[in-house]
Amino acid sequence: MLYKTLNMAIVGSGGDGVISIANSIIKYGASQGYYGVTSRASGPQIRGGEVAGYVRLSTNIIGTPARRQHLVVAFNVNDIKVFKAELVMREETTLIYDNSKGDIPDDFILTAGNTIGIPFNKIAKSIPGGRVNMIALGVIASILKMKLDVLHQQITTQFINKGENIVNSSIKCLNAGYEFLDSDSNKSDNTNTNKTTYQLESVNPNNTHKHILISGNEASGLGALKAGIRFVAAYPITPATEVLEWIAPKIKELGGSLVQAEDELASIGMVIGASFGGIPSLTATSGPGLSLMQEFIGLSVTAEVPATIINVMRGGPSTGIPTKTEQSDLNSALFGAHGDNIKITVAPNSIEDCIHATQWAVYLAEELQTLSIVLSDQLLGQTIAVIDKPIFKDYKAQRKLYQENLKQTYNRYLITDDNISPMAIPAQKNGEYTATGLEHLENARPSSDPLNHRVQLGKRRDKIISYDYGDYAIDVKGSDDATTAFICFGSITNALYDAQNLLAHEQNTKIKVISIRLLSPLPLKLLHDQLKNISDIIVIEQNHMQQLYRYLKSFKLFDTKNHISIAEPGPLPLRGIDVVRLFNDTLQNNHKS
Amino acid sequence: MNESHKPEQKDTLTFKDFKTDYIPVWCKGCGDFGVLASLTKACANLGLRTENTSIISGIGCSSRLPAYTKTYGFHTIHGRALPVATGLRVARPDLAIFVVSGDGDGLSIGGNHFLHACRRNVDLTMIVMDNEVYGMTKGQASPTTPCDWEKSKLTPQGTHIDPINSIALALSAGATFVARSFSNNPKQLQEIIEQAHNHKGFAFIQVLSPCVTFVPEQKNWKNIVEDSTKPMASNRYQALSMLGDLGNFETGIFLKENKHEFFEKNAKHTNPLLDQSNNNDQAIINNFLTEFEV
Repeated sequence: MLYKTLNMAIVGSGGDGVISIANSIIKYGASQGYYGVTSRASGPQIRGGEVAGYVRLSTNIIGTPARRQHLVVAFNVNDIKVFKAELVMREETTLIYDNSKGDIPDDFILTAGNTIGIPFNKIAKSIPGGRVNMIALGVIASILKMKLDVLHQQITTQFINKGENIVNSSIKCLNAGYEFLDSDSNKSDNTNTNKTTYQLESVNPNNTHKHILISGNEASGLGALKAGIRFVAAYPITPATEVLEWIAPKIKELGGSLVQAEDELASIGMVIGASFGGIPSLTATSGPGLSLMQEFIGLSVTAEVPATIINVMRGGPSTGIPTKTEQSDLNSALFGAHGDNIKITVAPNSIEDCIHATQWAVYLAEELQTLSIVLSDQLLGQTIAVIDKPIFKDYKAQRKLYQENLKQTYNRYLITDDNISPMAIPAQKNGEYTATGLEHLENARPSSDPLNHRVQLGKRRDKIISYDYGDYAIDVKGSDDATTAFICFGSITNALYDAQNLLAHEQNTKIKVISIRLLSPLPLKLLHDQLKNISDIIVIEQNHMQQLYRYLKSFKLFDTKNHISIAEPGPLPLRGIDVVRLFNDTLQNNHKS
Repeated sequence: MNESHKPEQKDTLTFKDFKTDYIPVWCKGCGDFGVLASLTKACANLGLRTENTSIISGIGCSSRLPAYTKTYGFHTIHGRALPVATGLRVARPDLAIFVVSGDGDGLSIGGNHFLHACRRNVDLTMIVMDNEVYGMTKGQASPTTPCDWEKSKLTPQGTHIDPINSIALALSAGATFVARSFSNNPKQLQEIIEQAHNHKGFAFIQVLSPCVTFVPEQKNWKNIVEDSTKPMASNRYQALSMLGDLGNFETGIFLKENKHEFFEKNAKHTNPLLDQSNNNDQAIINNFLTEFEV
């Protein structure tokens, strides 16, 4: 049968090479012109525990991973139980499991339509240097009707550095797996080899777009360097570490540097120090790290030293669910630091947008001499996707710098028309000043004068709220005659687009989706314009305490309209059908009440 | 501002060129005045320029110092001067950078950063003005307060905790220049600051700097501080081995060690803000994107 989209999951223990299979499949798919996403899930252990690799291939561009699978490969059937919430098997599913050590246990409830036992381990042992993951890849290749010669080439390129022996044994395993189900000699009483094939439709030959295979975390790193970041301080934290690991070797090529700090306070401190020195600087972290950085965030805002933090959200609060996704750091980003402070918060809404939104956030921090936060999340950050090769936007860090003038006294915090003061950087003559978190006069000297406090608070607010951010502040999708709007931000945007399609086709309901990229300061004029003809508003977000809904409400954005909140916490990625279900449930409840 | 103090009009600067006309918040008799004097004299004697010098501090009485100098400065947040200075050092290898701190700021809330700045051997000079008390919050015990000091309202029975020996801490954490001086000994202090600045790597100077307001008995320090007769060590184990005999009021340079410093090889750092026309960078970044092609 031919499919537009195929979903598969590979489940095993650490060491089975599960992620490597998923990567091989998506690489193959990408080379054949397909789009796709791959993501991983793991059990509680760091190493050696259960791992699931998900792959979704499609003829069209896709953003959301699936739960319902066409093909599931399990090296140990029991491992599947760990992922039962996110790995769903139905009539259309083929489950392939390793029957080397016996058949499926009696207590295992089978929901897959087709089950095939293959002795992966036995086959691997019969081949010198044999590995189960290569055999499984061969089996998957035959079921998906993948081109064997292309896979051979891909495997050769992948392992050539590890030596000819590894390449040869890998190809032997691949071939053994590929031929297994079609060979009559493997058909015995206790092995069901009832093979179903799943094949993707051909790709549109007119689509000549170049594709790239990239994760959101890598994309954020790329956007940061493109914007001009040349100093990065790093403290490892799941699920943000890949941003920093990707940047580490790259920033050196650009003559910049990355320092591993002793903790998150130090990493944001180093960033602010380097930026004070005139170098655009950034760090990446996740919720707990963002909490630790809050005092420094206040300093960056008050001393007007630009800095950018990429915050890859995970399940919270506290240690929470570190390996899974949630949108619950919105309040922390918007309101974290003490005192009256306003800063920039930007949320990328796709993997590609991780490049552009990060680039924009750096640009804005430098332009406005303040702190910007990029609110990414685990789903965006750690999903690897095949996307059209993007074209960079023009955002490039530039700072209003002090021009050396030996005749005039320099005032670091001078009140100007746009409230942005020329910033001197060390080594500029006659620009010497002491940056400070103390409230200060225009000449940077500390002051507790009440009138001056108001003036400087107003300066720091007005430079941010009166700036023209342009149309990039929001994304809008949907017809102009829709009277219902979904409002969201970040990674769930894609699921809302899917829901928009489903509702249009299945329920004849027209929805306008408004995805807010600039969360602070809120682009109120753009939002009011978009909501003009809207009578019903549904604010959808992936957290428990309605953080976005309450924030928007505080601006009286929709007081005169019907408005409801759908706040669904993580850790499972929200899919289009989830949104449709939540939407229908909410409507029903509303009618009842 | 007095026009005659404009540094760019002179070839050689005096310590006065390094001072602002801003009146310090410090109490009369505070040791920190002496540190300010010695530091500005050292800067002038080293031939530094005000625009090429940065002084970084945290929060506390001693951390007010940058605003009293006519250099670049950053009065950051409590305990965090060292990370800020480290970032600045890596980004700007061309600058002379001093970190000024106190015993609470540098060794309590900033203790972790202190350990890691020492072990990185980052090329900075850190001056800790040690008065064994939190002065700005009006007299609480600090990590260097004697365990039986009973004059704090927070710990009226004393802390019963042995004070930190900051010299021992710096040595064991890997600082490569370790010294102690006294705010009332301006000549020695100036000389040690100059040597610390010329040292490649992390230089730590504990400066005994009396708080005459909350610990008036420290006025007596001038009678008990003495020059150390111990020889200067060239590696930290040698220095650590003589610690047992070292009195708390002996001053001098205890260690000067040659060790590779943090990021010394990265002597130049690109700056896209100042060089907007760097097309080579754009080519490299476009290539990063191409590397993701499949």
